[in-house]
Amino acid sequence: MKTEETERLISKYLAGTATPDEERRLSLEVNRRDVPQEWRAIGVMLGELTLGEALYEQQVQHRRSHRRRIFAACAMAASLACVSLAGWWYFDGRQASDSENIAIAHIDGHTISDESLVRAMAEDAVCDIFETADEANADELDLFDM
Amino acid sequence: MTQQEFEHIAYTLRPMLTGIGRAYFGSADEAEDVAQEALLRLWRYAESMDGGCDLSRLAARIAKWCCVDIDRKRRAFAPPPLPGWDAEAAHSPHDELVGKETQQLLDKAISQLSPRERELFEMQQLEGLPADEIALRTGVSKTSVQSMASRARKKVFDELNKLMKQ
Repeated sequence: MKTEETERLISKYLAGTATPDEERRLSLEVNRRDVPQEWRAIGVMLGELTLGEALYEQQVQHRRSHRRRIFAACAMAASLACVSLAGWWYFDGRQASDSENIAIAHIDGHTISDESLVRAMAEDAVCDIFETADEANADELDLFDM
Repeated sequence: MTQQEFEHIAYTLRPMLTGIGRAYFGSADEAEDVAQEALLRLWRYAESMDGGCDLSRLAARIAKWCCVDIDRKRRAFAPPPLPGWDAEAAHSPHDELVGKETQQLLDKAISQLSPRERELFEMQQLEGLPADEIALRTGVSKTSVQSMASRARKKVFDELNKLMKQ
């Protein structure tokens, strides 16, 4: 607290207009070491009960915020665990379905897993068969012609 | 206030006092110690008070002070450090002696007040009551309470400063 603020609270206290909360704040301030003697007199007047109350509130507040921080850290850890678990479950499932869809063919002693390549090679093979069949038919016609 | 009256009040105040202790220490055993200590101290105050007075606010203030005091004595953990606030040194035997001396000076300064001013000063000092509540309790207007409190505080402040300089 700044000196001006302390003096403002002292004036309010002496005027009888300070609230209990302001008195507690003032008590913490004027009970420090190395304060002017006039401030010390205010500390004596405010009494040990006000100081005790102020220290109590401070400690309870400190404990509450500490507990809140621990709770927030636990909540964050739990949500991170949930997200990672969900991610693992999703990607693992996707990987499994991908592996089920892999097209594997053994062509000329090679294992090919690229579906489009297998399809293209299959189409080429079918075309070869038709061409061979056409050539054979043509040969047969040639024989009849003869 | 008679012992019987106090015992009845103590019975009703105990749950609140243990609650204050539990909020500070987080344990039921220490909360019980706080309630016990607070009631003991409250009895010392109550002896000099009349039977119709509401002790719950004063009891709560005493219980909070007891928490800090018990904590300080046990040194289980230090209160959050304040810059310039030396909790260890502030409660050395020397400081306790100084504390007693300043309390005597305060009593001397308060004795300069008129009975009405003294009553008002002690009401605020002990129970920590705001002006509007004192006004309700005493039947005096809030403005009068504030001006009387102000006069009383300024008198005590001047007298205390004078005594502390000597």
